[in-house]
Amino acid sequence: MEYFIVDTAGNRYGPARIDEINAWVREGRIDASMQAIQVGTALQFPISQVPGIFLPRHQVSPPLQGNPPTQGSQYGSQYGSQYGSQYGSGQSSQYGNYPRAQAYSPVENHLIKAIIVTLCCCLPIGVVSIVYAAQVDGHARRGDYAMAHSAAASADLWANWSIGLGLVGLLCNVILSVPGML
Amino acid sequence: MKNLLNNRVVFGVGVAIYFLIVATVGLPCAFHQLTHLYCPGCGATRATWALIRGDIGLALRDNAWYVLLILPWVFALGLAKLTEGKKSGESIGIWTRKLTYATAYAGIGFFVLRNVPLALFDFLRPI
Repeated sequence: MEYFIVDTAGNRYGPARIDEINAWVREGRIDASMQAIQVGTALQFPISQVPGIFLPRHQVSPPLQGNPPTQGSQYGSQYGSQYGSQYGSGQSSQYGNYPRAQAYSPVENHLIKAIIVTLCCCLPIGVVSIVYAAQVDGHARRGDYAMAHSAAASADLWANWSIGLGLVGLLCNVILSVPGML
Repeated sequence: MKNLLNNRVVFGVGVAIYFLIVATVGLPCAFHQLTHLYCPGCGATRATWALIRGDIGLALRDNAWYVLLILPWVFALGLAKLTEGKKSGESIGIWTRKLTYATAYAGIGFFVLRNVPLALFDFLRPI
């Protein structure tokens, strides 16, 4: 797949392959204000909508309905800065929710917490948390942020219940075990 | 000084005390005793001890999900955290994310299968 790159002055460059365009991005020759034309078509669209092009974070506007972007360095924030958002956050394109190859949901999905809780707190409730957490990204990818946040909140709630009950269980465990040990 | 008493330190001390108890006297699992079910984490402690002794076969037998997915996943999380913010961390982040999903779904499947009362699935239950 090759593209022409059009700058704001209307000059046309290319055609170039994705890896060449990414090299140009790294050299700082391309920014988000530029447009792309797929070879063989007449359609012109923003460079941020080309699948496989990695624009540095500061060149991409935050998603229209999304959360405020997490702070972080130029590339690091592409994967967020905290747990779930680390692997769940990312860039949406400048013009809404175009499903780019690397477009991840900006919604914290609590999946990591859910797995840890399932392993450590030893309660089937953790499984419920995993199921909810796994739905978050799907909702966000479709642009349904209300559902995504609601699923994320459910995942967090079940995980917290699991932690709480796990602690109660552990306490009971210790209380019941200690007489036998003495 | 007050940083010494933040959440992570308290959490770390709690985990250390717990493992000290488990390592010295051992704790039976209340969940297993009450329900007679095997939770996804059942056998993880035994698998850890087996790994420390170098007995990979026994570790897999005790909790295959923990050995095959949880441990690599924790390793990947650490690696992703270390490379966070670097260009080279991008693909690590993507793979860690995929591994997170694999671990989650496998954990649910593991939980169900190891509780199916058929001799076929005996190998998923800890000894």
